[in-house]
Amino acid sequence: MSQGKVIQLLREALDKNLYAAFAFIVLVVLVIVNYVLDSSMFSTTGLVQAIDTAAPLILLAIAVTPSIFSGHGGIDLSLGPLAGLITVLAGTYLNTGTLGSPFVLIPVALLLGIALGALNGVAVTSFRIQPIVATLGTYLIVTGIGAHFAPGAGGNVSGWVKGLSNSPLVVLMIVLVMAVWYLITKTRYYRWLRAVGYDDRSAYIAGVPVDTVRFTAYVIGGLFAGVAGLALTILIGGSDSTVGPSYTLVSIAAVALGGVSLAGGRGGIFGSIVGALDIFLIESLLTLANVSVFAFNLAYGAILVAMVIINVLISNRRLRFSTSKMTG
Amino acid sequence: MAEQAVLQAVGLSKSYGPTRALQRFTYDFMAGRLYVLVGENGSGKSTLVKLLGGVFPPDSGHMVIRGQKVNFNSPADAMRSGIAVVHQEIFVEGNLSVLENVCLSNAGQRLASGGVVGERNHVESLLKDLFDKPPLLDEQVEDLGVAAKQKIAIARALAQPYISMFIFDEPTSVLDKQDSNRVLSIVKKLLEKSIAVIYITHRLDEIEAVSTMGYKIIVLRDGILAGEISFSDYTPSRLLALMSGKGEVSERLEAQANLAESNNMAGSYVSERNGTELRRQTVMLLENFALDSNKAAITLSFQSSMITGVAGLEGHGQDALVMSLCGLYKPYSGRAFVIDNSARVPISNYKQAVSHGVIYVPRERKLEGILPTMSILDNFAMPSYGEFSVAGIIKFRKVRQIFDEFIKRLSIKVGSTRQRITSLSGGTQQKVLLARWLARNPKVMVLNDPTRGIDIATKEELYGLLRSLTEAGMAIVMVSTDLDEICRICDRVLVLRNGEVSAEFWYPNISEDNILAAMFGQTGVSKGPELNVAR
Repeated sequence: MSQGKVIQLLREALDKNLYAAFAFIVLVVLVIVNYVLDSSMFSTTGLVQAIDTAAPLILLAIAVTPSIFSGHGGIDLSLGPLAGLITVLAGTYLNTGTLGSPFVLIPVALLLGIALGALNGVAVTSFRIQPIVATLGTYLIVTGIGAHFAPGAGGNVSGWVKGLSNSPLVVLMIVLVMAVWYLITKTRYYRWLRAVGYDDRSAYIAGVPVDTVRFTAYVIGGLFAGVAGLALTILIGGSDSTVGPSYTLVSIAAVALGGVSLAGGRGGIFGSIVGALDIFLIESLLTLANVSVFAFNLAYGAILVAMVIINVLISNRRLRFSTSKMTG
Repeated sequence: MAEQAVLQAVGLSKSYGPTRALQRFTYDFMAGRLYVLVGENGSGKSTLVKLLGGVFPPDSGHMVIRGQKVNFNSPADAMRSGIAVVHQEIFVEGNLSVLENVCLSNAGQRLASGGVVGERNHVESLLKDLFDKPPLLDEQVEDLGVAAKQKIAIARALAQPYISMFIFDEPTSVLDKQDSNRVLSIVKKLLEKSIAVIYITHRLDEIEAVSTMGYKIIVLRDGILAGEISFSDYTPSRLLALMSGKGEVSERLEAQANLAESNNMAGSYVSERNGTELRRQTVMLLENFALDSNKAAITLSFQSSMITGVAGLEGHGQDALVMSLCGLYKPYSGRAFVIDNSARVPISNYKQAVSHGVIYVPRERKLEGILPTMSILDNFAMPSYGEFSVAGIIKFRKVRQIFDEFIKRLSIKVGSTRQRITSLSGGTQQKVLLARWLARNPKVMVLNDPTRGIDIATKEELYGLLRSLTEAGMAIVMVSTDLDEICRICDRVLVLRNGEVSAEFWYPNISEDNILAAMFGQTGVSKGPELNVAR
């Protein structure tokens, strides 16, 4: 590959991900500040450990992106509780004998994600329930099921799961999900998804099967959330039905932070990943600063709001450049 | 060789609520023939296009393609049957690239977001026919101008792998001469490939331009196939006669006059318009008005005791003109002034316009007019509650008293004023909205298609009301898509075309034929006195 070609590819990549520029700049700043305050995170083991800790959030942010992308208020609140439910299964039922094998837990987690995504997809497309209401419903259902089987933290995971704690394999999971998504972006489906997210009526007129496209977005999100559930299981090494739901709103915040439009059609998972890393580093900074819970939440919230506002200002500016008003 | 029909429409009908948009449309479209479809606004053209393109199914009737009865459940169905449509509204996805937009509906390459060479070459060759300088394939479409977007929509339809019928719904309304000619040469190419082409246009010059390749002109009027003209027999006057349905006009008028008489409203306002000399004075000015940099700026004045009609084909600037009058739209140049106590007051926003007695009743009653979840009384009094309140507490007794007066004056038929406004018919809703603004004693009332979707009897009542308001000194400016209505109640008509006032007629020179000819840009139209002076 010639040097010119490399530069061109880089420029294209930059062009395509310009929406996430602000989140990326923030990420660079956060990395520097974190490094100055505590460089231990940036040793090889420290880095793997950090990524493992951030993995559930990163994966859930990726998982919620397709549904948000599909527009018309698309969102999936139920993915956090799903990840929690997977920890419950792994920590209390699928942990001994044949049931404890990776060849049981991994397919179960992924299939569970697909099934939940399909349920949400049907509710949103066939029954035309508002996505926020439909997935709040499944959020509560999944949370309830998890709490029924394992109220609070506890349980014991299979030995192979424990062995994955602090291993680079979790990084591989993220890479794998990114690779799957990369392949999706190369398909006609990805064009359709963006078209539907931008303006579903216009996409329908263009012959796009709008409902199928939306449904599939929820299924893809569910699948990725299944992977997130595995990462969460590895991270906490047991079952905890209470930890999953709290990821829901944070993962959506990560997506918004990454410059992905909650109105649909704009952005990509690169933004969601960067947004998730931003949030993770803000959390770790606030932990380093050893502030009280009260100050933690206050600072956390204020930073989030400020960043989202700046993102909105940037994208409005871009829109103003390009919209031309018609007379008549 | 017997000619082959690529598509037969059999009794296609479609209604929107009480409005019959298209009635029993039956027609055989032959391969390789060009059909020019014309008709006034609301004659059913776009409804027909949407039925043929599968946007929605007909209420009754069906289509036959190659001997098989078909029903389209979606635009994708219609595309698979070989129907390509360029809609009047420009449907492109701003967040996608040029390439992605053109190939959006395309089946085929699954792994082809930005790479496959064949796809890029194909799109490039399609764009070459449409553009002098085609945009880059990876450019985002929302960064392009409206003409480029229209051309991309055309390219998308052309990219369909199988086409037996191609429909253009006013493809050139946003294109310049050069681009329009490009579109016409594309039409020619399609015809050479034995594709049937339906071409909708509002431009007589375009009809003349396609006359060598044209086959039939199909005329729709009020949702009915009014007739067809072979291109060999085409003359502009024949076409206009068929569109306005002359001959039948007198019958229609008679029927309405009878209805009005039986309604005890009597068509009396017509005689009053003839008889009384009303004292008119200028109450509003629109100075140096232009919607675009390449349009000549003109000055218009509006007098009291006068109804000024604003006519034109859909989207030729009527809305922009009347909304500029009340500060709801900022034109390219120009400013509206209201004459208040013989002082000229420039209008800068709607709130201020209202405070000087200029009010606006919007077109989309459902979207911009009524508050659908609230009561009739709330709908009436919403903008006036401030004046009816003491220290923030509304004096409902007073509000009801005033509303009762209007109920009598406008003969509004309501049961309880606490009912939701949506329980009323469209005509009655419109009366409540008029009462809302009349309660503020306006000097100038700007109405945007006030009788759209209202039954004939209520229309007649509204006409009577508008005339009596003008007799009391009010100036009314009114956009209407109903030419019959304009001819009957307006003292003066402004006809807009391509964003400028192209003609002006005064009573008694207002006729449907005059207005139609001006709407379609036919040359030789006599211009009103004011326009000649102002230019």
